[in-house]
Amino acid sequence: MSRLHNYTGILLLFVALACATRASAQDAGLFWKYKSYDGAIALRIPGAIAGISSIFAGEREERMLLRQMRTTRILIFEEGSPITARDTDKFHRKAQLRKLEEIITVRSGKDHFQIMAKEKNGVLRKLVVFFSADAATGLISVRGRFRIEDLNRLIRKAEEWTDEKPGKLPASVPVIRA
Amino acid sequence: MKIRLSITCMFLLVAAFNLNAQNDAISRFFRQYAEDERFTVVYVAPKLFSMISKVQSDDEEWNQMREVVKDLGGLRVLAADSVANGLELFNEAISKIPVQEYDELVTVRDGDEHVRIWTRENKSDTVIEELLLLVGAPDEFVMLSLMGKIDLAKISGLAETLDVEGIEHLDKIKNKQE
Repeated sequence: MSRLHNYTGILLLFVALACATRASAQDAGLFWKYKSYDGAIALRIPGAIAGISSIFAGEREERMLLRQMRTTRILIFEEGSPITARDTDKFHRKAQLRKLEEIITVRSGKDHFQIMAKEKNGVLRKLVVFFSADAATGLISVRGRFRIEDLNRLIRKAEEWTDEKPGKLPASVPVIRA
Repeated sequence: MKIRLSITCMFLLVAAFNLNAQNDAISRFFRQYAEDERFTVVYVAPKLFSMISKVQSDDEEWNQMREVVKDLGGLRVLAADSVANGLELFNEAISKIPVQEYDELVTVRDGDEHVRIWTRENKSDTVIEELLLLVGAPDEFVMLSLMGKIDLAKISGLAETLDVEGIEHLDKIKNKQE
């Protein structure tokens, strides 16, 4: 009888874990609904992959940023989007409920581009890019803990790269002489 | 005593309604044409301006721009460059917006093109809280509303930084000040 109790406990734990994963994954409902549709380019990059890829990043600032990345979801339809207006509205309602703030919206003709973000105490927790155009329709969602200071460091580094004078070859470059 | 209290409450409600009415008129106008495919709609939330203002750089131009955007509270643009009734839209906007609430800053009429810029100051008359730009031509219409603490001396620089249709008309403020 006690063994049965143990099994029930383990089973309940599994069910609870599965529910928890599903609940946290629902934040981008569109991704889960449409990822298996015909023509969908759907990618889900776990934070661990970004963490591992940070090993190959050349600069410390890049490594820091990659390590702060959590799950990234990409969903793109290149030829005709099956995403309905109802689902788009639902997505916006859910985004509002999850405190995702609209930060920029551009609509020109039939093209629509929107960026939403969730920020708390100077830390960017989530960034969602939603776009809809003739060429493609899609959604990019990046979760993480990006601090403004880290982004500033990366910008400074990028400035250093662009400030380097081009066209000056290092002394050790071999030259073929005719 | 109760009647006096009720009258005070009603007076406060009416005052609060009047304060919101001017912004509501602009919002309603934006909403009216937000889904119209002839128009380009741009909305930049205050959050984006506050996030941008935290990004540091050694670039002198960027730092100047940071000073301008740090107090901005949102930007809305409604623009159309190939409409048949640009002047009708211009007149409709003027009739709907309570322009008496604003101070007229610039008025330009060049042939069929009309450009008008209004500002609204806060009670202390030191800081500009809102800038409203209207452009009307036979085939063009632009309505731009910029909110927040606005420095007129620096705002024309925003036109050079932001690549938004219609914002180039802000240069007229600079020309006026010269």
